[in-house]
Amino acid sequence: MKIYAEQIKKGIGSAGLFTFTYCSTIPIGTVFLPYVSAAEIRSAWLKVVVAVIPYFLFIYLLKKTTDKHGTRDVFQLLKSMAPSWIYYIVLVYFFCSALYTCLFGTKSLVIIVQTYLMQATEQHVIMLTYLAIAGISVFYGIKAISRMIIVMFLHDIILIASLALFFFSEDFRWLFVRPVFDFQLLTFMESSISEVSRYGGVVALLAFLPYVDKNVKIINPMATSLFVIMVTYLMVSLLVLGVFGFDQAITLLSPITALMQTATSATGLFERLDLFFLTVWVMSFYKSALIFIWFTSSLLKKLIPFRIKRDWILVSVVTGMIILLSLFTPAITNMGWEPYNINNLVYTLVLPMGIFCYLLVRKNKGQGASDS
Amino acid sequence: MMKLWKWLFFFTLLTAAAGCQLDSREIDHRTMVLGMAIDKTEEGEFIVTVQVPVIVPTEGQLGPSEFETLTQTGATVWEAISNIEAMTPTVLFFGHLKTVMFGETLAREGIGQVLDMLDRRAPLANQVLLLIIRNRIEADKFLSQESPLVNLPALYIERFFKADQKLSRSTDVKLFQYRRDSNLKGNAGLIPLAYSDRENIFIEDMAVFIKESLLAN
Repeated sequence: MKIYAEQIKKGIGSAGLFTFTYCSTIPIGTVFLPYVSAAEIRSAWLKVVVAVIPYFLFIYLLKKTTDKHGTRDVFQLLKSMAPSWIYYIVLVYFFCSALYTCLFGTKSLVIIVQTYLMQATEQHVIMLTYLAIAGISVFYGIKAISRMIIVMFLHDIILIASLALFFFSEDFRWLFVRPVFDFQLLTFMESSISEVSRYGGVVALLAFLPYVDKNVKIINPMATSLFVIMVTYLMVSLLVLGVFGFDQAITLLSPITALMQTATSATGLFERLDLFFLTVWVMSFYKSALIFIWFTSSLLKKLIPFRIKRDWILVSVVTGMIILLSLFTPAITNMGWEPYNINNLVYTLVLPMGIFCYLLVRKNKGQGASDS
Repeated sequence: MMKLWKWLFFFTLLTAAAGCQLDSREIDHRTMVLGMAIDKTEEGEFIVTVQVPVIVPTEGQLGPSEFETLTQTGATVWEAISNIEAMTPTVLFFGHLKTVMFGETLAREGIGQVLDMLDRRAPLANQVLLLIIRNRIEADKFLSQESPLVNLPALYIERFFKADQKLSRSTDVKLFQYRRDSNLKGNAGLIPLAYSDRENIFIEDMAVFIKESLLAN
């Protein structure tokens, strides 16, 4: 079971980096778009465009940091340059937050599946089968995951392209998507945090970059992918608001799923084509689970001071923790979204950018040695 | 030996992955609802009627599709539906519902809450057609009205609108369209009107709703 970088001879290419960036972010960011727990969504389409800017800064700083120090392993750099107690506190926080993301992703999948596909099936059955398959798939390692998400990425593109046809349907009206700026500062801030945290999945790049081939220029695939993510979010927001209008959109659990339901279909075999689309959507959640279970287990590996030879043990521990947390916490509809969004913002944006700035102001070790 | 373990593991996983088993129902264990009519009695109870197709075998082969209409009343729409379910040996499945009709009495009182309930039901596609039945005939009677042109009245409605009759004086309105329009600033929506003279089905004119209540037709 080859999971980690040192066992991979040839690194992952730019296509792998592009799809990894896209797939780490898209499912959970889109499934509830533009729903932000009853906050202001009228101008959600405009906010998703603005919210991507900090993440462009994120990848710019990431590139600068890796270029300056000549290595793409940011965690290793932090370990060598920061006091060890800071390094471990940061890592523990990353690990807990990544677990929180996995928990939220699992809960989201469960609620979507139970609402739209399997009403009579118990939550724990859906949860266990989902996590068992995702967990076992991670055993095959990051290279296999990378190849798999490239294949499944095509499904996403077909789905998104099909949705784009709505722009040409009679049901879509530009009248409903005009921007309305709410002057309630608190509501505006709350919804802005939600929009920014939609891009949070890119944090998994911190663990992924060391596996990318050294000859690959990382900035282009990452920036292009981030742009495509923004276009996808923008399109979904526009479509949902344009088809349903603001007042109805806010009552929908998963606007994109409702949008699929609205697709006029032929009779007979393809009568409920929306359920087929929904299955593709569930596959998209699997991709996201693969990425985040792998990311969390790689953080756990860095946290443990001694070396564990069998990596599948780490993956099993992480998957087991997610299962336990999922079983003993309430459903997503009873959980607060604000703490999740704020935490997402801190661990995917504020903290990594702080680390990049710290690493940028510190002298390159090799450079310092030659200076002295 | 390792290969054997791998296969064993694969099949165990396959068995465990059959998570949909609890939800899997054979087609003959489902009662497909194609049409639904909702109205109110003078006492304020909801009258819910559903139309289900019945395949009747005739002389060694499957005969023409026929239908049954089942009606029950209840203090809420849910109660009436569960009363209907008590009359059937299988589970009511709304995934193929084509049209929802409202009696004029209910329409004048307001259909907002009923539509909200229907829209929140995930198995029910939000593209079902809406129709208001004029007081000339009760909604449940209308639903059981057989046309010589199309066997099932619910399918008649669907075919009528899909044919997109250019000379018709009404147009189709789907569930999500009505909900969207009535949620806008004007709180106004339109739904096509229909009635039957016991021989033919007539679909013409539009009912105007303001704040979810029938204002004029």
